[in-house]
Amino acid sequence: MSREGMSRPATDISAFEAFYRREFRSVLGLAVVLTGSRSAGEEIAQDAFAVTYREWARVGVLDNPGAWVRKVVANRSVSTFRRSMAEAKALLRVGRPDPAESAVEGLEVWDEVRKLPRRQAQVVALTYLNDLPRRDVADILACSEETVKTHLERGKRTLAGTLGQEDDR
Amino acid sequence: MNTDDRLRDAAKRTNSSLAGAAIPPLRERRPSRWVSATLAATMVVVVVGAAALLNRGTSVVPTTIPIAPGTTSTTQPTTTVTGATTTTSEIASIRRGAVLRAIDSVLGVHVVFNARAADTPAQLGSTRDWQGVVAETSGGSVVSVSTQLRASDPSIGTMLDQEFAKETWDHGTDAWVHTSSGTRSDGNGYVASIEVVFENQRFVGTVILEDPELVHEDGTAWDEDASWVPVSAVIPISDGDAVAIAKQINDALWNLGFGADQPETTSTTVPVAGLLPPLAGWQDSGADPAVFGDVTITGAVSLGDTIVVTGCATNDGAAGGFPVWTSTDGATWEQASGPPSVGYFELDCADNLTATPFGLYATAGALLHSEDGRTWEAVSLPTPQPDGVTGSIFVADAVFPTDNRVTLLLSIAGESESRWDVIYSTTDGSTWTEGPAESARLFDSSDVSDVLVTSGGLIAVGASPGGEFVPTAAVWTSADGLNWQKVTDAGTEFAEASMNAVIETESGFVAVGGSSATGLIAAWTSPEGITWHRQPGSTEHVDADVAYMTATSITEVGGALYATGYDFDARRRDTSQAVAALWMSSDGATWERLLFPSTAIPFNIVSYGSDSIGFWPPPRWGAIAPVQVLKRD
Repeated sequence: MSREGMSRPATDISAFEAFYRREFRSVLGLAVVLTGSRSAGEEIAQDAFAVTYREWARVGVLDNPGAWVRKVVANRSVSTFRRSMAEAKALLRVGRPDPAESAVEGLEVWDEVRKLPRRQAQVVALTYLNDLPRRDVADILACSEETVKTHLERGKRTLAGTLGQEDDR
Repeated sequence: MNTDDRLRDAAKRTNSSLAGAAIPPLRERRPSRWVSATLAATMVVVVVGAAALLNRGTSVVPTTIPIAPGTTSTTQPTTTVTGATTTTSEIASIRRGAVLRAIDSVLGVHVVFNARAADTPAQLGSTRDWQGVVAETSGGSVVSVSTQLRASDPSIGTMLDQEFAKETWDHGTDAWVHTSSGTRSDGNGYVASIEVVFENQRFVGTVILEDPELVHEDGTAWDEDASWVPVSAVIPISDGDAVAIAKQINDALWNLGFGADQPETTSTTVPVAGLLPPLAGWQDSGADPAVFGDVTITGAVSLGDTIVVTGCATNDGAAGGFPVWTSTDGATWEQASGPPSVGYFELDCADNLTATPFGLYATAGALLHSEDGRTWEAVSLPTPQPDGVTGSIFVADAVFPTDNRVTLLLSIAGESESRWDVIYSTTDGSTWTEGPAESARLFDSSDVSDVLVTSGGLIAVGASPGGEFVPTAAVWTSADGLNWQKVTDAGTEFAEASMNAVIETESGFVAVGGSSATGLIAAWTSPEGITWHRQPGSTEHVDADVAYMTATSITEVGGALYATGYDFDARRRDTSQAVAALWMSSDGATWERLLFPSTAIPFNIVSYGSDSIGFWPPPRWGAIAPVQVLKRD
């Protein structure tokens, strides 16, 4: 069968399904937090799993497939999905966030996180939202643990100011 | 709370609020609604549309909305009316108290949409009762009526949703009535959506009201001039009849009297459902639309005496099998056979159909190949692994033929923010070899939307990154499919725009797309495909903060150019924010919106023998419409 066709032996599917069910909500959260939009986040999370499925023969045997799918999400949140992001922003502008949005709590904090430099925002979201150890974050972002630590510290320093200001209001 | 605690708390809340999120069935992401990576073919050239399989929809049409807030127009009020089966936006003057009428010409249902304030006009900011009425005066197929009303500025007013209840009136008609209270706090404009559900179709109207100029100080007074409210929409339904929707901006939410003046407007025939009459010079081939299921035709080629077409299932529809069909006469169509799925994903959207010296190719989650168009199989390809790229997720962006070669443009994505491109080609139909990396690099992180095969070589159009969420329109050319040049720059003619489709005309090349700066469709022309110049495009009114339009495919027929795409407005009702749109041009430079397509315009025109056939609706048309196969007279 075709490489492009990405066909999988039937035995792989159940393993993938289990992985998908286990990881979807957590990955969705990451995508929502990094985009600020439930609908765009849904799309990115779904897309990341579709990509993962295509690559399942390779990804499924990795030590940590969950890191792999998060890597896809972390890196995709900005450069693609322009349309869904554009629509999400337009909807927000007319005061009608998509109905699912209101069901997501804590977004105001992530709004501040997203204003951080990109890598810092990713490190913060992976560390706090997905509760991942530094080593996994480093793996996902393809950098050293030391770099993760630096990004985290810088990000938190900035957030101490911005979130603090929010408290003052 | 310190920062650490704030973050932990936010994570806890976010995670627990998503703990109950439904896990959707995994599916291949289809082109986002009716976003099109288009295929358009003329009689003499095969135009290969390109769709990044994985990123279709979002990456292919990288239209964005500028983030900077714009100002509300005070010169021309905006009115947009859209429907599942009709689309229009027409500015008209309607006298105060105009009647809103709709006659559904197909169902024979006469609907009067009418809404009025229950009391006299009051000061802005007051809370008042008001009443909306939709009266059905004949027929009996209206199932429900509802409206949604909200301020265009979210900081004022609230959203009001109303279901209308059916009443029988004295004079023997059914009325759909709603009575409510609403607070009018500002004259900043409101958006109203109307939805009338018939037994077998739905009418959706959206009126976007903006004209602060019309707000009078006392909120009540109308002088003679002001009684002509240039804030309205007219939905012509059939000759002589129209739905008119009007709004007095200084009155209550709706203040439209009964049976008063008729709207001053011209009306045209509206396709409500069913087949459209073919464009002059064309006739319906008599093909049964049911054969195609719920698809739009994305590509057509002829192979000897056989016509082969690919389709893409509409968003809510199903192709009903492998989405390729063949015919030898344009009237009788047979479904081709091929793999029913690509791994986990159902195969219901094929695109990039192209005829090559080595048979037919198309993409549908896999690269597909067929010798005769009737039997298709997935093609095995080598795994590209360029230096320094750790990802290996790749999708076919485009496949196109030159004299003795078939070239495939692949995108590699997945583990990185960027996408790398690799060119593969074959000169025997079986062995694929990697092309020059320096050419492939020209496409990195870009979206190729359409590739035109001309006698002078290949012209690819699309967009390159121009910053976060900002595309830059781009054109690449190649004589042989392997060695490419990018012929456009990031200057003002291309910045903040994307090209989505290109066509060759007698006087040169025309490309269409969208501008994220203006929110309007964009157009470019070129005498030879190398030097491109931005043209005026269309001059519709759009608030680029919340709405945009983009053209995604193009066809030339009867001496005119037609572009199709969609029109997104965040202010519309949830189900109707993106609607199909059609534009026409005589020169490719200036474009005019065709509010109601009243004829079936052939797209994907292909010649076979001495005949030509084309297809309506356009590729990925955003309204439900049966596939019509049109034949040149």
